[in-house]
Amino acid sequence: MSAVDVLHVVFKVGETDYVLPASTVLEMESFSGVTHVPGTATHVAGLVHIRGRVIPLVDLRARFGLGPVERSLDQRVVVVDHHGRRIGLLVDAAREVAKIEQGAFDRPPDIVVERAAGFVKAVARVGPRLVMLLDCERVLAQEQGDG
Amino acid sequence: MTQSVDVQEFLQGFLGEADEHLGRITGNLAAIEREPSHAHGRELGELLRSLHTLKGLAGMMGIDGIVDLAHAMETLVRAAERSHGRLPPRALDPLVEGAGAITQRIRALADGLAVPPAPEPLLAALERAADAPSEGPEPRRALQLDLDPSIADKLTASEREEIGRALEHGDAVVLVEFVPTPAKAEAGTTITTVRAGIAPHGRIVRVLPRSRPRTEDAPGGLDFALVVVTRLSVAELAAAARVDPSDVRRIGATEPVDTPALVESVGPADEGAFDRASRKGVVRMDVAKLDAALEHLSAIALGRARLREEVQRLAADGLDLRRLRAMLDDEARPLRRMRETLLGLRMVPLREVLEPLPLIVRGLRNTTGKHVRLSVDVGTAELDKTVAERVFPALVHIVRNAVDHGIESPDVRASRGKPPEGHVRVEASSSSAATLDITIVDDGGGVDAAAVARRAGKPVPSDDAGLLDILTTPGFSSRDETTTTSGRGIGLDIVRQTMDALGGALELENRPGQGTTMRLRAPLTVAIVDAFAFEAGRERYLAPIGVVDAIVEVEPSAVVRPPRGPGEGQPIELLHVRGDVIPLVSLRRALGLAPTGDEPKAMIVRRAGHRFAFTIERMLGRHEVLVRPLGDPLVRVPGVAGSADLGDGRPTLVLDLAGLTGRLVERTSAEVQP
Repeated sequence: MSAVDVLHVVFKVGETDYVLPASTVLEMESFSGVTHVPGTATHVAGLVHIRGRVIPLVDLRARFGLGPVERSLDQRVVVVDHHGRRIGLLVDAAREVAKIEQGAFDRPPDIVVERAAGFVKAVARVGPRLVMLLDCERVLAQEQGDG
Repeated sequence: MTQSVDVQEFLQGFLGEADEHLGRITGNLAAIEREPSHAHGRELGELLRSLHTLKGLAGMMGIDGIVDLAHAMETLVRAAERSHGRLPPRALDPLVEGAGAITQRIRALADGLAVPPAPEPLLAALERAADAPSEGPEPRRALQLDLDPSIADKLTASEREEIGRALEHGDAVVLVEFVPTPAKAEAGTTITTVRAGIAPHGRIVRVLPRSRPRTEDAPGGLDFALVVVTRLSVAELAAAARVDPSDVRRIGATEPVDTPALVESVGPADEGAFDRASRKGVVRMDVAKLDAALEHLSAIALGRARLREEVQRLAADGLDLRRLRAMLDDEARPLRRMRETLLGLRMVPLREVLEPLPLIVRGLRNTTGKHVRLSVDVGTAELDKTVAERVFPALVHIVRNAVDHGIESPDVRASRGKPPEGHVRVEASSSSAATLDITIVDDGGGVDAAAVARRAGKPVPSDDAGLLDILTTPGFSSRDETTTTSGRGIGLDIVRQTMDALGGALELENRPGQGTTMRLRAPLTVAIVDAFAFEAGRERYLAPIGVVDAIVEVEPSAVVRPPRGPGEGQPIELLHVRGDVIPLVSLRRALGLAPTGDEPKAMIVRRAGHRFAFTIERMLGRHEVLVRPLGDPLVRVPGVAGSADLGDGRPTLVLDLAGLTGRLVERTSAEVQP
């Protein structure tokens, strides 16, 4: 149990708040369209051009099985560093950061685990809300392209 | 991300400097390795300077792992420099290892990973090599001692050397002349007591008995000359030896003029090391910045194309725009030159890229027990930096394979009538204006095709191409346990993928019993490609013009649908073009997307003798674009070579029509025979 406060980025997908350690987040940009790449998995939205780099964009709504929404100005691309790979995560909104104590994370309750199909590593309380720690490994796991 | 701001700021500067110094260190070690029997004063001097500066820089950054390694290497080189000005062969191995260990740590630092401390066994090995008594030929130095020739001539080389070292350490060299007399003996002073008296205060290098004419002062006809190395003053030593101070004399020594002086920096590298202005005109840069510059240039070119079109329109209205046209033409040349210059900036000399190879092979000598010499003969060949970065690990793997599996052990080689030392040769030549052939030739035993086939559970291949196919099957390994050398890093399957992704090729030439040749064909520039832009299903795409034979209108009357029986699968359409019949398929369908039905044009693509017509909506133009390969596995799909920017900031997919054609040919070749 450590009392170290770690800065996390908070973002919304659907109605749920998710967090990632700020150290893994390289940048956050507004979303202005994506180039679809035929033959990739359904949750891979395609390619985006961010600050001089072309990176893959993963649609988290699609990943979590939520239906698509109309484009909104709140949408963001959260660019993460995953074992040296730069990958963008498309989220519905990303406005806050929060300091969360390392020891404050708990195992996700079963109901969460079911719905998010194992994309959540742990949960924590930030004020009155429950936030989910995203499991990037699972989110970005390679499956054979399904169209 | 967790580093303080100050360190981050200096990190880039440090990485640039460290890279340069590492380059010099590797280069000098390689030079010494090539000709071990020569003197290497210059190389050792440069090694010292680079190691010393690197140590200081790493110290400022607080990177102990690198500081310790650099320090141990520096001590070893300094010791070698002092004793002979030559590096003893056994000192080269730990130095090469040390350079490798430092390189790994620099890489870790650049990747934002933790830098591990210096490995103890390596530090110990470096220390041992530095302390070991120097072996090798006569020392270059010939100290001139201010001594009577009768004494000086009797000193052996190692004694002179000892004196030389002592002088460097700041000790004094002293001559004690002792004449035994009955009077002294009665007083209790004999040669024995003199020696005993001196012993605790210095080192007696030599005791020379000399005969002399008998005189009253020297009735024995004998005296002793003792050459002593000590820190005591003449007076102190005389007192210790209980001899007359006048019998003790300090010996001066002069070094011959041609001994190179060691340039010592004062303390750790000062901030001047970060002074960019005084460095040679070399700039380290991020390739991404070069790519960005090239893309900006593309955007300018696009703008100009639009300008020309506008000028065309206005001219059609009757305006005299000759001067405007001339201005546009004048601009074209400098833009073209700028493009060439920027592309040229991405090129690196292959020789530099391959510099560490001989050292890697040397390292393998210890782990595999095989004696292998690596020669690199690539002339002035250059290639694109990103190509070089991807080809280098492939080359390393192939060289490792050659040493590990190809070259036989010395006994086997002897039994085959081969010289005990295996030879691996890396050569480069241009096979065309746009490609570079890099060949790795070894004189080992070749590949046992039958054994390979057995291991893979496949039939024995009929030719080298078939053999290569088996060898590049993912997961294939030709030993029961991956050996410690080739097991690491990439496999031959990844080598092939790398070459494919680059648009290059991999070939094998197997000579059973004689050796193998691997040929990597790499494009000189992956970057810029002349491409057609077109639309299919409201999406914009690009395709290299090289594979496109023609672009035609699809007349419905020219399309034939041969009848198909039940169970024969998808109906194939054929297009009549100038007497030929070519399979016709919607590009969208070939990509796995639904066709729109509005596809009046077709691009005819040729690949290895097969032709295919892809229907599209309309052509948009022709552009020279910078292709960025799709690196991430999430988006790597067959048929898409990469992405490019057409000036609107959105990535446009660059299609691999040749690859698409290949897949379609497999599916339909049975049905469509001309």
